[in-house]
Amino acid sequence: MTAHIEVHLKPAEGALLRTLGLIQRRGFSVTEMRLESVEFGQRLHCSVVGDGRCVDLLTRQIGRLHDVERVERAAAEPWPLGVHGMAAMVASQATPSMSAVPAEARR
Amino acid sequence: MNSATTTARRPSKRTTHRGADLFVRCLRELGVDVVFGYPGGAIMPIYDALPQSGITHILTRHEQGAALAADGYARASNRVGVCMATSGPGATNLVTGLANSMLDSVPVVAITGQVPNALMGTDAFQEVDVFGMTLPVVKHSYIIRRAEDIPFVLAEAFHLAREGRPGPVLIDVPKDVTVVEVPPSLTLPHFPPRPATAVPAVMQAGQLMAGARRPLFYLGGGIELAACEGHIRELVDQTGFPFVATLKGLGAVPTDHPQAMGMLGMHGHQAANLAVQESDLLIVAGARFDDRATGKLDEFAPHARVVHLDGDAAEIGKLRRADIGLAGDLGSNLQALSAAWQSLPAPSIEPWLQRCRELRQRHAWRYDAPGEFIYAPALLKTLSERGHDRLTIACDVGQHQMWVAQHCRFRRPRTHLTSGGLGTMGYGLPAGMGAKLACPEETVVVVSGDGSIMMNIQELATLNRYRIDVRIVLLDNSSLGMVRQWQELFFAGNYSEIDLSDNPDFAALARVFGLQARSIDRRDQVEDAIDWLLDEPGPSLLHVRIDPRANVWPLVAPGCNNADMMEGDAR
Repeated sequence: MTAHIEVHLKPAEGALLRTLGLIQRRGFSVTEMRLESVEFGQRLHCSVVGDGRCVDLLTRQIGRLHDVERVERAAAEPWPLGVHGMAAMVASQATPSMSAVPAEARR
Repeated sequence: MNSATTTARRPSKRTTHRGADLFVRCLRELGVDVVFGYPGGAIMPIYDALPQSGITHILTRHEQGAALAADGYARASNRVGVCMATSGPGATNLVTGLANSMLDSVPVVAITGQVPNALMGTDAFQEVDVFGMTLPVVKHSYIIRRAEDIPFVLAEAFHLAREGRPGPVLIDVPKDVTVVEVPPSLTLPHFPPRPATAVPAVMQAGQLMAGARRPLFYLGGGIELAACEGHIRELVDQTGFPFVATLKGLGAVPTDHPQAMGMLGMHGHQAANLAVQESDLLIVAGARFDDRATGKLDEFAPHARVVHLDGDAAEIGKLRRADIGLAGDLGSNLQALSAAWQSLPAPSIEPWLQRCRELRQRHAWRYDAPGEFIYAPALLKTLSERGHDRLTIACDVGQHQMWVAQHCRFRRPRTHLTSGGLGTMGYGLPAGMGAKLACPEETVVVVSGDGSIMMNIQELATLNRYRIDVRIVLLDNSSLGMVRQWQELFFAGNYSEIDLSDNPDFAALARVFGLQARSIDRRDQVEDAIDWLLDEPGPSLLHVRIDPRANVWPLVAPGCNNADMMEGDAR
């Protein structure tokens, strides 16, 4: 099951690498991510999948990183146009052609 | 002789205050008195500033020795251990030591030289991305990009190494940062410790304890790290509950305490493992349900509810669900739990205490092994008794490590230094060296094996150079004993690459390095040899030949229930 998390990173060298590395080492795959600059540091939105792994535990492990200001689980996909959004958009077009839909949206 | 040659040979007299001077001054102001390290190109400016600093530098013979010595220094003293090395191979040689400190939550600050900022990313000579390479094995890390950041980075690094769950912190220092001039007015910031408070769920934990019929404390290394052994001893005495300890929890409460059941786990005491399996409440303090302690997790303590106290919130519920999780300052929570306990009616647990006494009696260690060879458990018991509780024992990794845990007595915290998480062969000698420098009044004994000692044998030269009074007991079974034991039991006796029968003459080797040494191979030599080892000033080495077929018992096979313990012949 996919979980969505939002990590507020301090403006520190290696903060992003450290956080992504931890997510992967703890048995999760990052399936989608977006990084944006904010007033103090960066905000990382990411979707993660970890079969049989506990997402709440992952957020606690991320939260203890010194580079992390705070971490939250997002209720829904944070993407303005995620995979499902893309599919809906394509479906709403007049003459949709499946070949025009990105492969991941067809799954 | 031309003037250029003359200039090159003349010692330069520095009048400026460079980044390196600031760096070393900050170390001193942070209370650093000993640094373990090895110099090289990129870190030379810091070494140039060291001699005037008042800091004692211990030149190890390998950077891994420096990292593990810093770990031993930190464990024995509860202060931050410091090691340093140059860029490239110097830095990579520190990595095993950092991983060792990370897995056992030891406060260490590692300083690495780095090529200048402008050369980073160009594959320069001795350039390696040690910051990236060590991300999984440090609590935090820095690259100092500007000399004026030195005081902040150092102060924060030392704070982070100790704060909360301790761990290693790496500081990578590009060379240009250390040679630029800096204003002498730069000062260290202060990082106050976080206020320690107890969590409200303590009362619920107390109620579970008051309602339990077969309660058991499960004590881990977090108690020593938090230096809250006084609080746990008080709680153990108040409640009268029996307790088990993990490998790293030994000594938090004296191992010969009347309520002690022994070490749990793969090579734990049978009484301890059975008590855990029968308990209805585990009060877990500073432990993390490591697989070597729990055996098959699904069948671990099947009847027990769990109260889990830990300094690290991410450990609560990681492997075993906690009915009550008390995250935060361990000492404060133990104190509050003690107060809650006193306000509640004590449970009637006499049948359980009787059962625990029976388990202890039935499974008491025996030292009457047949045969001619020296019996290692009996020798270690004798060593421990003759040490009269003034020993700090630093172990290596293997069979001897388990025998020390089983048969030596630990009445004081921070006197059993062992590589529990990473299982680093080669840990014992440098760790013992660090411990002796941290606590000169202690008698430090390294217990090693013939496999492990060779992993950092070069540090005998460090012992001799500084005449560090470490006594070494080398248990020699001419093989990689723990691997051999597993091949015997789980790989149908297919002995693969475990033979060390061509070992050097260890006593002669130690003498070449400048140590005193003796070698024994008969039981009637043991007492005299141990008296010699403990009474004569060191550094010294006692080489003990033991039965190559000796195994560590009991043993819970990997992936099995802790109640299913294998037993075999004592040799």
